[in-house]
Amino acid sequence: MSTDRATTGSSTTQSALRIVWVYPDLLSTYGDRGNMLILARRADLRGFPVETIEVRSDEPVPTKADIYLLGGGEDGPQALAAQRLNTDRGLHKAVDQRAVVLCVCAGYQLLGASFSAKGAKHAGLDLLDITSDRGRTRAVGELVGDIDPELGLPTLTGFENHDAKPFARVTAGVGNDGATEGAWQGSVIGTYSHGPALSRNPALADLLIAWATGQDKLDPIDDTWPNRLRAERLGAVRVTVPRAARAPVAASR
Amino acid sequence: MSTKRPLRAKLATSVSLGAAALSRATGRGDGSVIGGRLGLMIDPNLLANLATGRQIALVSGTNGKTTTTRLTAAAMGVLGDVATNSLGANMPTGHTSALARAGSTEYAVLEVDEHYLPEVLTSTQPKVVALLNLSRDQLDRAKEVAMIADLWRRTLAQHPVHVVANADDPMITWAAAGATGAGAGVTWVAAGQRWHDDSWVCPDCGSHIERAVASNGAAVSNMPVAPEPESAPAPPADPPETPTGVQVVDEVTVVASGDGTLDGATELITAVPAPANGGHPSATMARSHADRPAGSVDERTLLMPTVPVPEAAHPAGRPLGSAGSHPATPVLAPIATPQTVADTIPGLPAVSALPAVPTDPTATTADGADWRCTGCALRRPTPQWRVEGDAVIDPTGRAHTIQLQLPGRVNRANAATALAVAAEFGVDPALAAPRLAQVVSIAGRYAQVQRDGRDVRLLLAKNPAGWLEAFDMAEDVPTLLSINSRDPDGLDTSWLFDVDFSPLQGRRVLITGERAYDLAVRLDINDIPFTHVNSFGKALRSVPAGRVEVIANYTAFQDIRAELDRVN
Repeated sequence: MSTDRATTGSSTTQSALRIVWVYPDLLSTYGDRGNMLILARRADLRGFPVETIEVRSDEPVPTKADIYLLGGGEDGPQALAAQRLNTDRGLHKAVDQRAVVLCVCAGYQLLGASFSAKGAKHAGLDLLDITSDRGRTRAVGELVGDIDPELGLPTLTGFENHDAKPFARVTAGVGNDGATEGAWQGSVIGTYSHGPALSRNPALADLLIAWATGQDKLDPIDDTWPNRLRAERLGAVRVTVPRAARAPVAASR
Repeated sequence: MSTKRPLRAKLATSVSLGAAALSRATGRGDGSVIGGRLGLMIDPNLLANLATGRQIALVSGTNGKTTTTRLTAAAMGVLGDVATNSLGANMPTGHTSALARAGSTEYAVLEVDEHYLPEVLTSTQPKVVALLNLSRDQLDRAKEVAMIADLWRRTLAQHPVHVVANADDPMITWAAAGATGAGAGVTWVAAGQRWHDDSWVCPDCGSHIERAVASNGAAVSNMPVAPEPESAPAPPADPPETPTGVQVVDEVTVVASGDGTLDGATELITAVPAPANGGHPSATMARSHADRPAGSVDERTLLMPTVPVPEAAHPAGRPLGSAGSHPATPVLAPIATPQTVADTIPGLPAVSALPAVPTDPTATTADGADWRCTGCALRRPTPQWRVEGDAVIDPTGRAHTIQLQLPGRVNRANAATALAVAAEFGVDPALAAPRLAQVVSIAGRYAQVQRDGRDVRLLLAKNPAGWLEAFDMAEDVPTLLSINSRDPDGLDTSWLFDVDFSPLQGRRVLITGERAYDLAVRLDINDIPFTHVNSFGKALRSVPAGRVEVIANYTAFQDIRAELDRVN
C-alpha cells in the first residue's frame, strides 16, 4: 500500500483539515499533486487530522473544505475548468467563506477576471482581481521573488512555464510581467511557481495551514531537506533584476 | 539498390560515413549524429534517397522506443540484415547515419523522436509505424501530450502506412485511428498503460475517459456492457445503455470476479459513491494515483448487486487475418466529431454494439484494462496481439513463449509490438520469438555489471510513466536513485511529485545526482527513509555486496554508465 499519505483523520472527524484538489483530471500537469501531498504531510506532522479530497470536473466542488488547490493545465482543459467552476459556483461559495486557496499557473490565471486560452479570451472565476493575456514569449525557467513583506515569508523559489496584483516582486525569471509574480487577495494566493510550488516553499505551506486552522504559529518540524533544496535552487539562479530597478511591492488586497 | 541513387546522394553518403568514422576515431562521439548532419547538408534529400527501395518500420512513443526498436530489428532478422539506429539517435540525422552505414539492406527499423515522426514518415515512406504510448515528458520544452496525439493523427491521415498501435493508451488509439487511405490499417496490441494521468480527458470530445481497474491494481474488466445486439450496430450517437436492473450511480460499472480475472463466475459490479465505511473495496475505478491519501471522499466503493452477466455473446474474436489488421476508413480532416468516431475509427466497435466483455480474453490480463470515453464513441479497440504471462498471443491465438532477457511486463508488451510489426513484413512470430531472447541490454539499459562485489543493474527512467515501469522491474534490493536536470533531462523536476515512490518502501534507498535534493524532499513527503550520497562510487560502497538496482534519468544514467566503462 502507499505510504504517500499523511492522512490520519477520517471523513467523519469534524476537526479534520479538509484539503480539496480541484479538478485533477483537467488541472494536473507539473506534479501538481505535490501541493496536496505536502500540505497533508505537514499538517499531519503537527497532529492535525487531514482529509484530502480529489474533485473531478464532473463532480460538485464541496463548499465547506478548508484549503482548495488548483494546478496547471493546457489551454483546452483550462478553459473547460473555468467554465465548469463558474457553473458549479462551489469554489466561489468557499472563497466567500474565507476558505484558503492556492492556485498555480493555469489555475491561477483562471481565478482572475479573464484569461487567454487557444487564442480566445475566456471569463475567469473573478476571485482574483487580475486579468491575464498571452505573453510575447513563453516564460520557462527558475523563478525567484520577494514575497509581499506583510505575509512574512522568505523568498519565493519555483519553476515557471507559462505565456497578471502581485504576490512577490520578481528578482529572477518573469512571473506576471517581469516585475511582479502571482497574486494575493484575502485568503487566495496565486503563483506562476508551478507544480509542487510548496516543495521549495515550506513556509508558504505552513502559512496556508495556519490560515486554515486558525493557528497563529505552527510547531516547527524538520525542514532539513526543503531548506537544502531552497538554498541550492536560490544559489543556482542569478538575480536578473537590479534591486533599485525593481517594481514596488504591491499591497495586499 | 544503392546504384540507383543520385550522384549527390552517393557523395553525401560517403561524406557522412567518413565523418562518422572520424567522430568515432577521435573519440568525439559514436558518429550517429554528425555523419547524418553532414550528409544532409550536402543532400537535403539524403534520408529519402537512402530510404528508397527499402522496407522500413518506424517506432515512436514516449517510452520504450529504443528497446522496441531493438526487439523489432531482432524479429525482422528472420528476413536478413536489418538497418537500425540502435544507438538511440532518433532524429533525421541519426536515421541518415544509420541508413548510410547500413549499405544496401532491404529492411530497416528506425526509432523516431515523437516530434519528428511527421517529417520522417514523409522522407522514409515506411511500410509500418509502431506507436507505443504518449505521456508527459520534459514539459519545459516538449509539446503537450494532446498536441502530439493530434499531430500524429493528422499526419497518419496523409500516409498510406500500416500502424501497429497500443490499444491500451487512449491517446495512441485516437492518433492511430487517423491512419487512412489505400494500404493503411491498424493492428492493435494490448501493450498496457500503467500511467493514466495524461489520458483522463478524451482527445476527441473532451469528456472523461473511464477505466476499469481493481483495487489491487489488476485490470478486471471492460466497462458496463449492454447485451450484444444480434444485428448490426445501431447508430452510435448515444452512450451505452445501462444494463437493465443495474444501479449505475456513478456512471462507473465494472465487471469482475473476485480474483481479478474474468471467468464463468463473473459478476456485474456497479460503482456507487462510498457510504461511510461501507461497501466492499473490491474494485475501484482507477482515477488517480495509487498514492491518493486514504479517506478521500471520491474513493469509490463498489456494491455488488447480483446481476447476471449476459451470456458470452462476444463473437469469438474478430477475424484474425494474416496480421490481424483492419482496413482503415477515412476519418480525418475535419477530425471526427464525437458522433462519428465509432463509425470511423477502425477497430472501435460502435458503442451501442459493444462486444460482451466477459469472454474477451484480453480483459483478463493486467494489460487489458478497458477504457472508454463517456462522451463519445472512442473506446478501447479489441487488440489482436496481447501478452499472457511469458507468452505473446498472436492474432490467430497461437502463444509464443518469449524468453526475454529484459525485465518487466512493459518489455513483454514491447516484444508483442515487435512481433506484430515483423508480422506485417511477413515474419512468422514463431520464428521471430526466439530471436528476442538475444537482446540483453540496449545502450546500458537493463545492463548488469559486476563492480566491487556488487551486482549492479541499470534501469533508465525519464518521466513519471517510466518510473512506474522501473518500479515494476526493480527487485527488492538496495536501490540507488539519481536525478539530473540538464537539457536532455528537462530542466524542470516538478514531475517527481507525479511519481508515487511507495513501491520503494522498506528498501535501502540511496539518492544522488545534481537534483538529489528535489528527490530528498519528494521521498520525505512520501515518508521513505533514504541516504544522500555524493557519488555513484560512494553509493556502491555504502551497500553490502550483492544486488543493487540503479534507477536514473537520462544524463544521470549516462554519468553512471560512464563510471561503468560505458557498459552496453
